[in-house]
Amino acid sequence: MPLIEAKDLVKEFRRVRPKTGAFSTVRTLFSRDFEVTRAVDGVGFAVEAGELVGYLGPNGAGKSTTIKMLTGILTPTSGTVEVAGVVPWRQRERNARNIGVVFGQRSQLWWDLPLRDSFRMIGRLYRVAPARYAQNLDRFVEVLGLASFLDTPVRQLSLGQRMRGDLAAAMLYEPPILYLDEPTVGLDVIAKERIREFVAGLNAEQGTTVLLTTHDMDDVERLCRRLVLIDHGRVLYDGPVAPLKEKYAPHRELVVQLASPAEVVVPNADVVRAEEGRVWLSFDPRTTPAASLIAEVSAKYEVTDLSLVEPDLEGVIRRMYLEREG
Amino acid sequence: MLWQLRAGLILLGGAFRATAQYRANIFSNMAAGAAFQTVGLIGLWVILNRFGEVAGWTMSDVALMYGLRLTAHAAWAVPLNQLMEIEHQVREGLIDRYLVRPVNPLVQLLTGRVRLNVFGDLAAGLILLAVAASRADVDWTPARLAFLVLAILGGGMIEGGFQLGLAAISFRTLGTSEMRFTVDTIFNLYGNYPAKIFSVPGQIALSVLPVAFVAYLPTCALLGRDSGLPLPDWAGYAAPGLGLLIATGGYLFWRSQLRNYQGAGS
Amino acid sequence: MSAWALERWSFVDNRIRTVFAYRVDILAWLVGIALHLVLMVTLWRAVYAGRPVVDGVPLAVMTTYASIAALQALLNNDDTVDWLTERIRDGKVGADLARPVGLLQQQVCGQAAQLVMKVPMIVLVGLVAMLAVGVSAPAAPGAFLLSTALGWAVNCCLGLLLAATAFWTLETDGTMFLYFVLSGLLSGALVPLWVMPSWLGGLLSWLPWQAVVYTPVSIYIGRLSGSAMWSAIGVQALWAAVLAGLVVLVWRRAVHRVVVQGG
Repeated sequence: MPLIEAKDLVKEFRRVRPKTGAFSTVRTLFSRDFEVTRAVDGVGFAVEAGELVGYLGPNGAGKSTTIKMLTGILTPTSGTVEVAGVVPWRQRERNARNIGVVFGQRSQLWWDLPLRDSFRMIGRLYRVAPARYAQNLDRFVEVLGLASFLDTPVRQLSLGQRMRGDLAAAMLYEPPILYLDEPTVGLDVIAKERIREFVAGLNAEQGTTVLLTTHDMDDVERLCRRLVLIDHGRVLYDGPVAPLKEKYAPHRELVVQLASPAEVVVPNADVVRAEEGRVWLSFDPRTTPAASLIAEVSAKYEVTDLSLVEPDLEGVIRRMYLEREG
Repeated sequence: MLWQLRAGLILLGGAFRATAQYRANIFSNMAAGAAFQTVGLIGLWVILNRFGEVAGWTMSDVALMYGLRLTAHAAWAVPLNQLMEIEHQVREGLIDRYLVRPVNPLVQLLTGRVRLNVFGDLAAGLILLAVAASRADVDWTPARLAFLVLAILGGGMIEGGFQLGLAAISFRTLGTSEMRFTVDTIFNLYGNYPAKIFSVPGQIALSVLPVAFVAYLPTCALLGRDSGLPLPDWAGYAAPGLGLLIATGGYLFWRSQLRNYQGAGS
Repeated sequence: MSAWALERWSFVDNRIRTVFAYRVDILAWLVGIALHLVLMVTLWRAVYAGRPVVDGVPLAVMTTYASIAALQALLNNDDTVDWLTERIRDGKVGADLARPVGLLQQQVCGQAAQLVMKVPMIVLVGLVAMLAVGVSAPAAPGAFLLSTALGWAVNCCLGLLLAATAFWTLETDGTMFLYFVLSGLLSGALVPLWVMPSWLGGLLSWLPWQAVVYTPVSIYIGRLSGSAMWSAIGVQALWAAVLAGLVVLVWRRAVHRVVVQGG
C-alpha cells in the first residue's frame, strides 16, 4: 500500500468578487457575488515509502494547495487523501506525528524564542524520549551547522539559518514523511547545496519519504528520481525524470561565436537566438549528428568558438507547458 | 484531554518566555486591564453620585452586579483572550502551523501569547466583587456563595461561547473583529446596567441574547429582587446551565468552521 | 490632482480598501453605533426618572448630548495605533520607511482614510437618530462643524503621540487599551463634565481630551454659545497647534531609533 495516496483531489476557493466603477466599495460590501476558483482539479497520485518525489508546476498551478491538503491544513472540496493510513484533515493530530513540514515562506518556529527553545518545545510536543532527542539534536546541529546560532531568537536569523532550523525542527521527531514547500527559495548557492545534501541524506540513510515542491530545477535534478508535474490543477506528467527529457527535449543546441556577425543559414538546424555574433542553433541529434553540423557551420562561416548545450529540466518543462498552451 | 492540557502548558511556557522579552509592558498591560474595567464603574459612579439611584438600584446594588459581571468577563477573557488574534492569524496564514502540530488548534491559538492585561481584569473584578459583596444587602450562606461562583463561571461561558463562535467565522476570511468587539460592547454596556430600565422590546432582546443572564438576573436572585423582565423566577439561576450550553455550541461551531480555512493567499 | 496629492491619496485609498475588504465589520460597526446610542438615551431617561430638568439641563437636551457625543466618539476612534504596532512587530515598518512618503504622513493619510469612510455613515446614523430618538438640530451648525474638525485634529495628534510609543515598547496593547477607555471618560463622551463632581469636571477642563468631544457637543446643544463658545474653540485650536508640534518632534526622534525586527 502506498504511503501517500491522493485520489481525484479537488479544492475550490470562494472569494467575494470585487466590484469596479462607481460606489465600488459600497457595492462590494453588500455583494453576494462569489468567485469560485478551482485551484486543484482532480489530482491523483501515489507515493511509496522511501520515494523522493518532485511536485512541480508554474505559479498558481495548485502545488501549495495540494501540499496543504496532504498535510491536513486544508480540507478538500472533494476527493480523498490518505497518508500513512490516516485522513489528514480528519485526524490532524495523528497525522501531525507522521509528518515533518517545512514551508520556505513561513517558519514553523517560535519567532521570539531562541532556536534551542523552539527545538525543546517541539521535542516535548511530539513526545520525543529525552535520550533520543539529545541524540537527534546533536546530529542535526552537526550536519546542518546550527551551533553558532542555536541561542539566537528566530526573528534575528538569516533566511538560510532559519531554513536549516526549520528542517531540523521538522525532523527532530523522526517523521517517516517530510513535505518541503519551496525549501530553497531565496537562498544563496551554498545554503541551497547544504539543504539539498541534508534532504538527500535523510532519504538515503533513514528512508524518509520526501515530497518536494520547488521552482529551482537544480533541486529537482539533484534530488528527485520521480516528478509529478501539474498545471491548472491537473497532473500533466507523473514518472521518472529521464524519459521526460527525451520526449520534450530531443533537441540539442550548438552555440557558435562568429568572427563577424552574419546571417547564419544551415540545413537541418534552426537559429533560435542570435546576438553580437553569437548564434544558438537547435538541431535533432537523431537525424543530424553534431559533428556534421559543426563541420557544415565551420565551412560556411568563420567560427572563433563553439560549444554544445545539453537540455536542462527547466527548458524541458518550459517547452512542455508551451506546447500545451499552443 | 489531559494531553491537550499538558501541551497547552508547554506552549504557554514558550509564550511566557517570549513575552518576557517585552518586559516593559507586563505591568502597564495589567494596569490597563484593571483600568479598563474601573473606568466604566467610575462613569456609573459619577452618574449615581449626582442622581442617587437608577430604577431603584443604588450604588451598592449596581456595584455587586458590576463586580459579578467583571469577574464573569475575566473568567472567559483569561483563557480566551487570544481569540482577538484570529483574524490576523487567518489572514497571514499563521493557522497553518497549528494544523500540522499534534495539538488541538484551538489550544495552540489560545496559548500562543500571554496577555497579562486580562489578569488586571480578573484582579479588578475580584476586588470589586469582594468589596461589593461585603457591602451588599445579602446574607451570604454557603449555598449563595456556591451559586455566586457557578453564576460567574456560567456568565463567563455565555460570553466566551459567543466569542468563540464569532471568532470561528474568521476562517471564512471574513473580518470579525468589529463583530466580536460589538458583542463584547453589548455585554459590557448592557450587562452593567439593570435591564429593567429598558422598554419591553429591549428587555426581551436582552433576555434572548442573553445579556441579562450573565449578571443582572443572578444579582436579582442574590438580592431577592424582582427582575422586572418577562421571565420566570428560576431564570435568575439559569446562568450556569445556559453557559454550558452556549460554550458547547460555540466549540462545535468552531470545529465545523475550521473546515473553511483557506490558508494565506492561494 | 497634483502628483503630490495623488501619491498621498493612494495611501488613503489603500487603507479604505483594506477596511472595506472585510465587509461584515462595517455592518457590525453601524449596529454598534446604534446600540450605543440607544443605551445612552435609555440610561439618561432612567436616571432622570421623570424629572424634567436636572442641573438646568432638560432631558431632551441631555439625550441629544448623549447621542451626539456617542457619534463624536466614534468619529474619533480609529485603528492607527493598531496598524502601526502590527507593522512594527512584523518588521514591515522598514518597508514603510523606504516609501517616498514619510511615515508620519502615511499615518495621517490612514487617519484621513478612516475619516473619509466614517463621515457619511456617521451623518446617516445621525439623521436616523434625529428622527428616532428625537435629537434636536445643532444650535450653531457652523461653529459646531469647526469645533468638530478641531476636536478631530486634537484627537489625531493624541493618537499619533500614543502610536509613537510603539517605537520604544514594540507593543502598545496596554497603552492603547487604556487610552481608548480613559478617553471616553476624559473627553466627556461617557458623562458630560457638568454632571461630574466639580473637582473632577474642573480637572478635566484643563486637559486636551475635553476639546475632542465635550466642546463640540456642548456647542451643538447650545450650552456653549457667544463669547464662551469662541474662547472654547480658541482653546481647541491652541491644543491642536501645541500637540501637532509635539507630534512632529516625537516622531522625528521615533523614526530615528527604529528597530526593524527581521523581515
